[in-house]
Amino acid sequence: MIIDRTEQLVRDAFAEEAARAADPREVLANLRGKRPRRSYGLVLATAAVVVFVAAVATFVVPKVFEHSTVPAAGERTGTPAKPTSVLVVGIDGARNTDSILLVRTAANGSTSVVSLPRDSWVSAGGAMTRLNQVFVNSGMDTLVSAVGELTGVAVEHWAVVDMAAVGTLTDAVGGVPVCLTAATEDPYAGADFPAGNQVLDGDSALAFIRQRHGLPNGDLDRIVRSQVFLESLLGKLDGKRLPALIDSVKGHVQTDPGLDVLGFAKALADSDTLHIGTIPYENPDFPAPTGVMAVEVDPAKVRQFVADLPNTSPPAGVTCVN
Amino acid sequence: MLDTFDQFAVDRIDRLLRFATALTCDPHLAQDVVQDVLVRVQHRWARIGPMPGRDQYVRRMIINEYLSWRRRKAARTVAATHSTLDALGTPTADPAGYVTERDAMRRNIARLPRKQRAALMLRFYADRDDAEIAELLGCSEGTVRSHISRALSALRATHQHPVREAL
Repeated sequence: MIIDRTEQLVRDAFAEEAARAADPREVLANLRGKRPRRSYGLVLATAAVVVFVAAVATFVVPKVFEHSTVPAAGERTGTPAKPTSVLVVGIDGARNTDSILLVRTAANGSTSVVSLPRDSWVSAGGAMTRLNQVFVNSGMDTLVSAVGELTGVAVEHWAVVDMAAVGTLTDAVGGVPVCLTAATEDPYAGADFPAGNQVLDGDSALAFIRQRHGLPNGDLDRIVRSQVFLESLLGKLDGKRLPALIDSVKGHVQTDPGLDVLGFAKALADSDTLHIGTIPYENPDFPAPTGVMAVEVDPAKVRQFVADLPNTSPPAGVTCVN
Repeated sequence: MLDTFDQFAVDRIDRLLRFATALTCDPHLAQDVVQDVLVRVQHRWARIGPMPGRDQYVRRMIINEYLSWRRRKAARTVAATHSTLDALGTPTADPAGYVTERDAMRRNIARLPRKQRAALMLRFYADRDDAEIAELLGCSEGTVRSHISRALSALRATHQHPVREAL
């Protein structure tokens, strides 16, 4: 009997491909509304969305450490704040790197946060790939060097933050107040908000920073929301709630052994300006040679942007947002 | 008795995800596509639930969601490079290893034009005949045969290439 080798390979290749399918339980949980959808955007997961969750945790977690009175912590508070760079990766329940941020503290007391779209088409470990594939396929060391190569920044440390931390953190501070210019809803993000002042709880906070549909300016509005949410959350930090805060973030954050959490915390706590930006990109619908859609970036432009970010003017304080 | 949407989803989710993953060659995209389609099915369950051919209908929704997504993206993409040509020149690292060959085949399938890939998937993964594939893709049987034959020729040319290199 003649067996067509190509057809057999095709069958096996499809079977192998199908076996890579996502966990059905996660999809069912999303459908049943147990938690907001991981990502609705099919191609461009613009950074500042869920990415932002990581920023929240980055800022809040060190502040929690700084104010805690754990003896071991006290011994090291004398460490002078020195400029440093930390790669912060936000992961979902399936360890997908949904958000990738480069946080830098500068000697002049400013902090800059660069978000990198997860579908950015980058060089990692000698091959081109989507940024969100690097951690899961090659690990943190490769991701650190890939981000370093792309941004021109020597990445010194890393932290991995579980996205679920934002919801619990919001609840732990007793809700985060925000103001909306108009009522809005987005069934995909689980969002349904009235106009005006309101206090977000954990679930609605996640919907608030994830909502993309039903907003006049889509992703741009979402970035503004993320910034407003972060400011408001930081304003809610309060020494009396620290035990609850520590409890809420425990187990949600991992860092490299060399990261001086307290030194980093001190630099963040002392920083007077916060610069947040997403790297520039060329074609957001770039058909990559491997058949996936990716976000095309120009490393030269990215490096220029990253270098300039600490010198830009921070956005004016926003009251009510879309 | 009419089953609930939840029961329907629980029974089919695994197969639908595999189907969509084979179709898109991208587990994340497949998950998004399946979720989007099932959200729509859920909203219209009163109508879709009692349909005799609802499984076929849902698969067709998945294919359409994927094909139309690609179409929308393609419409905004100017002068995409023809990556298939580049792929043709890429020899596999180890032509003797079947697993290596199969993985190379996976990558080559991922580079096929979307409709060819969909037709090929329906034939060799879902085991559908020309008529069923034509219905799912909304085209004629002749077109289905042409998609599959072109796809197979391209794949043959690609995976035989490293063998010639080796000789």
